[in-house]
Amino acid sequence: MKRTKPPKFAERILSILSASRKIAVLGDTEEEYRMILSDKGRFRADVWYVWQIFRPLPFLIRSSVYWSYEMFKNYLKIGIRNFKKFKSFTFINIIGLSIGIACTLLIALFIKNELSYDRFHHKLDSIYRLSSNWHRPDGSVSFRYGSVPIPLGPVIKEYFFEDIKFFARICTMEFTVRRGDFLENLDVTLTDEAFFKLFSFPLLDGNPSHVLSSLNSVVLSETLARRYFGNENPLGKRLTLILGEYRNDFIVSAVAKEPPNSSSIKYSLLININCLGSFRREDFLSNWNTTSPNWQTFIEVMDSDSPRRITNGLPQFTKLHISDQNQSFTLQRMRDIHFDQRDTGTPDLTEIYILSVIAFFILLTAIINFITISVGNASNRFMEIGIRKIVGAERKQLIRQFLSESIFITAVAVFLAMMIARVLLPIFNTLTNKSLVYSDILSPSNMAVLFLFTVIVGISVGSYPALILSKFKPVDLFTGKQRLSGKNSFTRILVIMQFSLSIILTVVVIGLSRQIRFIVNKDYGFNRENVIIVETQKREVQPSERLYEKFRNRLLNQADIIRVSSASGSFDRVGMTGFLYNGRRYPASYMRVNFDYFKTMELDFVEGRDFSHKISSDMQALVVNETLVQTLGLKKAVGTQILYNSRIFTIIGVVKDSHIFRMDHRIQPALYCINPILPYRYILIKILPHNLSEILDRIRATWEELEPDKPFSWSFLEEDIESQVMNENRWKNIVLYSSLLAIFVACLGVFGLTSISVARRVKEIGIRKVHGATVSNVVGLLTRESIKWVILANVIAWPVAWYVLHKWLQNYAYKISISPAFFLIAAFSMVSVVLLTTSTLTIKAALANPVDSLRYE
Amino acid sequence: MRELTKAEETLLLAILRLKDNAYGVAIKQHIQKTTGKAIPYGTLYFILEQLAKKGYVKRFTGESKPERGGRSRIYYTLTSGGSTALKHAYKMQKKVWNGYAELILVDKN
Repeated sequence: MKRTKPPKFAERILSILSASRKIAVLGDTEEEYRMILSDKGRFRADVWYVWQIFRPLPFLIRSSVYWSYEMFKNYLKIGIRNFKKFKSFTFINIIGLSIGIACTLLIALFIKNELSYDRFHHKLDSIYRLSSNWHRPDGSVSFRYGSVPIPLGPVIKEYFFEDIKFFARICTMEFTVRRGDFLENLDVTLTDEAFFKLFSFPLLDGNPSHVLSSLNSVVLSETLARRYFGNENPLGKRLTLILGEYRNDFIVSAVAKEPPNSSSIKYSLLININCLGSFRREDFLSNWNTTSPNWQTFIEVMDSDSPRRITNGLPQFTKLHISDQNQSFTLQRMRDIHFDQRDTGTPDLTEIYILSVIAFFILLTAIINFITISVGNASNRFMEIGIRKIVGAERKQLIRQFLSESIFITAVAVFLAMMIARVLLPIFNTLTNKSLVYSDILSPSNMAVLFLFTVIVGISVGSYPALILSKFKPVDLFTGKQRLSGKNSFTRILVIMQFSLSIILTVVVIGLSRQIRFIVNKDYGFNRENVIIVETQKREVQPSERLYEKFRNRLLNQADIIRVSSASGSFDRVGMTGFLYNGRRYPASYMRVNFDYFKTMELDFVEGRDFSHKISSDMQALVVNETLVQTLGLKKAVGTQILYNSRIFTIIGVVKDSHIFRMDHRIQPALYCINPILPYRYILIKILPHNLSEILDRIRATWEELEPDKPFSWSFLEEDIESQVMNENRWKNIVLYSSLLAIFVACLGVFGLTSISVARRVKEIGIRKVHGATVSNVVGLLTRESIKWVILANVIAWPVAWYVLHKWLQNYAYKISISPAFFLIAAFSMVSVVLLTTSTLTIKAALANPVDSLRYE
Repeated sequence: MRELTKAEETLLLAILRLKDNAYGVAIKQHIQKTTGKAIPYGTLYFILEQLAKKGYVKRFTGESKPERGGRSRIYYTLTSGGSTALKHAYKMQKKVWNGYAELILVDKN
């Protein structure tokens, strides 16, 4: 059929153009179109119709664009003139804003990264982790652990077979990996065959359900495959894994992609957990009594109702397998794991809140600066505003003018902020211990957000000045009746807020650094100086014993080495266990130590005696700490018997409480035994404090002679203790840097405001000087106001700072008391910073010759 | 009373002449025929609206037509105010031209 209607698109455009006259115009044109169509053909008709669209265009453009363009040209010109005229203010605004925005950008990047943790798993919402709770006698939870005993996995799958689809245990152990002549110690992930079915870690090749089903299959990460096999195809190649006496050949069954940065689960080499077979079954695969932080068990549930059913069934299940009534198991959503405080080392949500609050405040400070400076500087624009109003500018237009100026400044600041963020990113990565990538900022969605952000910040920054300035009556503006000054209470509140924020941050920085120093220098209850710790490979009990004896005998013959001992755990690296006393179970930290351990660590005995070579019954003996004695409520500890590891042990000595375990935790009940239930993992060497490098070389030589296969890894006990406060140190630095930024931005603001008030008071200063005021009088006069603000800000900031610090310190079992000195130091430094900032301006004003300012009067 | 502009005058005359058939296309073609100049719809309707606002013409919505894509024709008729204004314009014209018309016509020849 022939088309008799005009082209659709043209009709639509015409319909937009003809606005209110739509029906008539469209109808007329269509009618005429048909006439032309029948007279002259389709082509001519179409051309004619389209022409109708263009006909009114020149007029439209002229009328609508021309005038706004003219105005815009004017706004732009005046805007640029103003920026140029008040260079320092423009500079302050742009620098302040860009610093604030850069902080916001970085922290947004950080938060985005944090929130993306583990989100890549397709089955995220049906994956759960089993975790343990330890209860106090009153039923409250005393410990939470993100792990459960190893044998639990298969058993729970069997028990809840209708609700659990798969389970995968993940436990990391250090093995020596041998590939030809290449040898290295590596954390190997032992897991179940369902690993790749449960989690969405992509395999480069191989079937996810089978790659780990054989007991001698091994899955390598991409990097590892490249390291071991170069460009060869690794599939089917052999690797040898060695763990003490255990030695087995594995065949590479698949290569897996590197786990993403945002994964809580990391791996480089995976094997089936059952490959250990009977080897280590004793203390590992069948031990229901012990859990360790790097043993995790994950399950995939059948449907959305399964978690509820499992949770309900868990107490019943637990009774069947665990005699201890203080221990219970719970389910934890995979989604929540990253922010769970059970796993140390991951930032919890509060950290994110704190970071965002800091970034928000820095940005807020910059916005406040912008507002105060524009309002303060407004008197310079009274003439312009007045004339615009008289010539006929509506309020709407003035608002639009000021808003577009501020949006323009914000846009420049955003641009600058992106460059600042680029420069600061490496520093930020060190501070937050992350590896964020700059290109993440540049994603299209981020750019859209940034654009929106520019407009929002621009509007929030400019709206107050715009509303205020456009409100005035022109007459007031010209007669000078309208006074808009720093006395404006709104401005004053804003400035005080800035100062308060800076003071709060300063107080927190001071408090944090004191706390860190306190932790590091605290009396740990043992002597940590000059103790070298050599880490052996995790191995079976017997060989570790033999190695230790040989090593120890060699070392003790050498000069400068005073004592050698060993232990199953070292600072911050101890496990939790439980023991029975009077039929009740108690949780405790445990460590297997060797003879001389307490002497090496210089731990003092309160009661009883140390282990002795001569007394063979010491194999069934325990040394405990004071806290354990208190927990059990023992009057006389020595001689008391407890049931531990299904055997009866007798307490022979009590040592003073010490922070052998962790500093930020309260001291726990602890037991030490020499019974070979665990292998030695750490060899402790007490040395004389000289010739350090020479002694170390000798120790290394001895080690390499005895254990040519094993790398020599050592550390100072003191360093281990200091590394514990790494997290605190990191935080101190974050707060330190952000408070410096906040103070800097606040100072920019003070500088701007002071220069405004100085400019306004030039004549007053002149008159005062003529009447005999001295330079110091004038300087005092000019600084008095800002000092007043700082003092008021202190009054507001102190309670808040106290509260923040107090909350923070509550994380520590052992903490400093908050001293008034923190506040005074912060106040003093703030006052001096403000004085320094304003002094150039005020002194210059005070030194000026009154003639210059008064000659026109 | 404000003077009619030349365009308004032409339009009013066209509406007067077209009687019952005074709607967009007809007016436009009529004007083109009498003056030899094409007038775009935008201008046409702008002026028509001005005239309606002054009360010189009245609008009627006519029947909808398929050749207009189902849209209605909008008809215009002169009001009494409109005819008064036209009369006034004619009188003014005559007054202004009085004695000059001959001069120009003579010169042209």
